[in-house]
Amino acid sequence: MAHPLLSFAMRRGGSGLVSLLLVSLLVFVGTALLPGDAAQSILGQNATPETLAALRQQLGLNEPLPVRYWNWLVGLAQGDMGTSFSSGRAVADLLWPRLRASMTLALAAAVIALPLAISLGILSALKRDSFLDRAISFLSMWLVSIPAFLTGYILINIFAIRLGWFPSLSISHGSASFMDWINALVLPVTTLVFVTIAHTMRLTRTAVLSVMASDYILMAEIKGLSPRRVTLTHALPNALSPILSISMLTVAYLMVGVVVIETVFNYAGLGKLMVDAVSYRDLPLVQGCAVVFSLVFVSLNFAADFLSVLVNPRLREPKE
Amino acid sequence: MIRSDSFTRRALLRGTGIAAIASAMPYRLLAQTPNRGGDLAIAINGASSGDTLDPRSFNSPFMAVVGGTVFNTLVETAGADGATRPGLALSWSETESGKVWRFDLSQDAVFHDGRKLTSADVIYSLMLHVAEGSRSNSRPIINSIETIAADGDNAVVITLKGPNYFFPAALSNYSLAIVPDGTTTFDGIGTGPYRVTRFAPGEVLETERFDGYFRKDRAFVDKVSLLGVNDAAARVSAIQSGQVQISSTLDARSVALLQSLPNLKISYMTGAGFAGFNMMVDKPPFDNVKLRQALKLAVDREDMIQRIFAGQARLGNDTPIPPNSTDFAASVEQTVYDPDRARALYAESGHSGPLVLQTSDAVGSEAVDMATLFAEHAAKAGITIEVKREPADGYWSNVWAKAPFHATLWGARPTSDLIMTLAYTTGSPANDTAFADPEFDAALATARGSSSEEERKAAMAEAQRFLHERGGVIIPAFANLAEGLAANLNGYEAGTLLVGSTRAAENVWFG
Repeated sequence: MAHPLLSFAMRRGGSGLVSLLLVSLLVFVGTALLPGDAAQSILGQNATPETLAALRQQLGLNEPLPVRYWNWLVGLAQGDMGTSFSSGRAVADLLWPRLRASMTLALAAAVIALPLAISLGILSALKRDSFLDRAISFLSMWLVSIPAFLTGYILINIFAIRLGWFPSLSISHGSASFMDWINALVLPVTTLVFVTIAHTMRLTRTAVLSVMASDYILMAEIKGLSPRRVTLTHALPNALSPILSISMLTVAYLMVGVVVIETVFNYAGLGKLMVDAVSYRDLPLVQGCAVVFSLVFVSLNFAADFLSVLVNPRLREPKE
Repeated sequence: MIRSDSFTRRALLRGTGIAAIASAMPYRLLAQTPNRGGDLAIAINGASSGDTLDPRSFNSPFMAVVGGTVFNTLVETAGADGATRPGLALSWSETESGKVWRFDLSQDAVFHDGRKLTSADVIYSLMLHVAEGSRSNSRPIINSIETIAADGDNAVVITLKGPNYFFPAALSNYSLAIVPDGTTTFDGIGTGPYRVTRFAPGEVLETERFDGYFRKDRAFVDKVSLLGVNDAAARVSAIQSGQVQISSTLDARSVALLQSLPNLKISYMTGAGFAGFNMMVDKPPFDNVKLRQALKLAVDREDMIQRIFAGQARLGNDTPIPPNSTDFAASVEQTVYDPDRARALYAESGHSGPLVLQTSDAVGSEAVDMATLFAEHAAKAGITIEVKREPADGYWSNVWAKAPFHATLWGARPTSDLIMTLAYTTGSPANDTAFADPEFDAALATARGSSSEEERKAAMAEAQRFLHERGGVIIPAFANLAEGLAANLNGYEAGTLLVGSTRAAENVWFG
């Protein structure tokens, strides 16, 4: 039993590592191709030929690109992500607090959005073409068609400015109490729930409906089982693997794709860190962020595949 | 002629009016007893995850305010004209016609770790900026020092390489913050009114009142948090919702809407930073002074102030010195929009065909709008300007100071002499119009070496006249940057640097 699963995991893990390596190479070459070098953008208008040369030397920018890449890769393998050009601090020290912040935001949004979206999706599928189905569809399509930043500003305007219930800037105060911290998260999390719920809900509905169209569901219905039982014990387990994939991708999106929300609420997450890093040509930091981003994506994809296989016996033991 | 005189007078009157109101205000308000207590949060742009508490790295709006909250400089500037006032140096005097300067230090100043301020700290802090590998924006200032020596524990004597009566004012640069002698790990130990309790680069700097602060009649609020808020819309919502009590630079277009709110006040910072257009005087066709003069006459400055800055800007006269500066030369005729004269000069210059003006978002969204408007104005004088928008990436290395006609941006420098020297003297590496004029250089040198204020101002006026007549830079206006204040905040004095000349934290109180 465990054997095919294990080999599946190994295969998937291996291809994940290859993707990671490719991403790091792409990022390395990509940042090197950007116009203007790191020394120039750190110094800006204060640059003089001497300070530029000194800084380039200091940052190791005079070495050829393949050498820099190799050194970085060797460091990474030993857990050393290098030193940020602009602040001189270890990249890992800059990344961890931001990764924690991004994970907090993503998980908080996922914990609310996913169960809500999945149950609404199942409900829609069950009550297909009813008024409820249409209402849910309409509302969710309406929410998803508003750009995330606008949703954010509307929420700020109502709940931060007019009502004054929540802060408009989600800045983590070290001294703040747990309640303040929750308060600061409410608006960005709500915005993220709004923008992700429709998409997950629609996909869940489609997955359940497509399973509902299969012969064994018809069989179950002919046997005289209640619609509730048909959906929950016959259809849902088979629809579970696409739903799991959607959920994992939603979490991945929440982790890495929310830089706009981070900007609107001034939330110090990974996205903003990477934007900062790019504008300062802080190569080690950009590379560190890219590695974390792709690691998150690859591992969530891996988790999605693995879980799909786990819940679906047919995938677990493929026929010869 | 008559027209230009009236402009100068009006600008002058407006300038002095602002100054009079601004200088009368704090004293009237100080007459009430300031309340102690309360927490202050300030939203400031320009924060980066690369920020450090090493004063040599201070080079952004956010870190400038950190400097003014946690540290002190020897000399400070304040008020709408940016006049100098004592900082850690209570007084200063010169000998040898401005070559040797003596600064007497406060005897009460104490660092946050309890050590007393001595001359050794001052010497160490200043010389840090010219140490190997320093990328400080104060480097040119400290480079002008020949020797620096302690005269006892409470005075330093600085000998300059040449006479410079602007030197004390230059020491007000926010990166010249004083740290304890021998500091190598910079964790925010200064002599300032607030002491760092937590610093998350790019996010927030939290502080609490330092009881040992040497100005006993200052620092009223208990805690000050400086929040890095780089997004303009986020700053507007933060000040609107009351999450912060001071916000730096607000978008000119939002200000009109914010002004009607009862819980807010709008204050204007009258800085010397500017966006302008560079005509490289060493590159054809701009090596022709008539063409440069034609273009200076072809921009409608008043229209630009109304349409780009919503009326909140001071007229520029193609020199980097704004009308509210104490060094401003009111005697130099103000250039006004004159399409007919521009057309005539353009014909005399012999140039024909479109002029390509390169600009970019790197210079700011306003610079792009300014260029478009400039092209419209110039068209009425029969001059064709083609605005070419360059990518922000690489603008400073590939276009700025290289393309014949391009947009530029300068942040305020601590003295008029510094910006004039840096940007327009012969051979300066940052001379972005390649302006090389021996008379201009000589006038600046005379100004630096003049002990009498009158002579100094006259020489400075000469330098401004040369730049105005022959220079390659077009500076249509100096924007007044709007700052938001909570209605219950008192004691705030707008200055030529952001957030109350960076030192609002020690001056304000709630009431």
